[in-house]
Amino acid sequence: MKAKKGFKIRKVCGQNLIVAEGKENIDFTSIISMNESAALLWNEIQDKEFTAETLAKILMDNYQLDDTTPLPHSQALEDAECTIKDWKKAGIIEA
Amino acid sequence: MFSLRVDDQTKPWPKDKRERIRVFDTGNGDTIVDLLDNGGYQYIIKDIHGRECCLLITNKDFSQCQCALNGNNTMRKFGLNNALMLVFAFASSYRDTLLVHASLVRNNGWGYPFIAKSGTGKSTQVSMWLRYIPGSDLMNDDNPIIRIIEDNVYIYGSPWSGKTPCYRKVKARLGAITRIDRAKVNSIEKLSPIDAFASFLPSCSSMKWDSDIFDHICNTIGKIIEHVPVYTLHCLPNQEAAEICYQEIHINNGHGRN
Repeated sequence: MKAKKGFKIRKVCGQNLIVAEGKENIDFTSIISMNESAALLWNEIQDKEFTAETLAKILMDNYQLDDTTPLPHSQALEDAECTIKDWKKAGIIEA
Repeated sequence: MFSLRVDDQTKPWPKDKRERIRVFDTGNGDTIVDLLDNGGYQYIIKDIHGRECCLLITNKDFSQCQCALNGNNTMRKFGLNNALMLVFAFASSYRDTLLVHASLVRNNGWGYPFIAKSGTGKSTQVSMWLRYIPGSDLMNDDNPIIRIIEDNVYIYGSPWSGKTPCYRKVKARLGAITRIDRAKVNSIEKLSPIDAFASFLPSCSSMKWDSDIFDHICNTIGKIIEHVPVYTLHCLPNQEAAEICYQEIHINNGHGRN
């Protein structure tokens, strides 16, 4: 799957917001807010094909449970699948 | 900021060198927007009876524009007025400025715009202020202008004021932005930054399909809500609503002190 065009993140008062733009999104009036990790994922997968595994890898590269414990793959994958579900519901990714 | 030349000989852009963006129903008639092959735009502005009143050709940043007007005097006036509004809204977007859809009241040097879809009761709320809140006056009833100058946010009257003729060259500090929501009981709530952005954006003249202009407009809105509180007033059209609102957005924000 990949990110639809015209959904870029803007910083508004320190928050990550997505405001749809472009001719194809004239009727997309929702505004989406993302937390830091979702925003990181969203920026990383712009203009490329991705799967839940892609997102899980980005999470594992960027987050750990504490200084010595890496993020377990199973947890990263679960978070990734959750995120993809949210993005599908928001209508900002396509197959 | 921009030049607009009226030349009735202006011709539509060749059909094969423009693409349709959309036909917009403005409430006062359709406006047909095309993107030109040179990055500029063509607008055909129709009145409520579907008559073409104005053909407007602009460059990409709306700094150079020309238009042809058509029909009787009323139609030509309508066409020119709308062309000026469009060109102003988008040319000024490059200068930390927004044209907004609001009814605007002033009190003690502060401007308080009320936003909402047409027919919700913006003007009604303002008329409650004029009647019951001492020291209030009407700055504009439909399309005021907001501008940021060195981190200070100001709101202005404009040459466009909807059905109420109120064309004033006046300026005030922007005190608060308030969305009107009809309710059975009066109350007022302050919005979080995200809700503030989402509430205010639809009331600003913008064009989603031009990413430069849209970027400027979103950035300007972001800066405004960093400095100015945004509220939703759940209200009836009565005196108490104006008093509750005045207490919260004027007194509680310290605007009553000179």
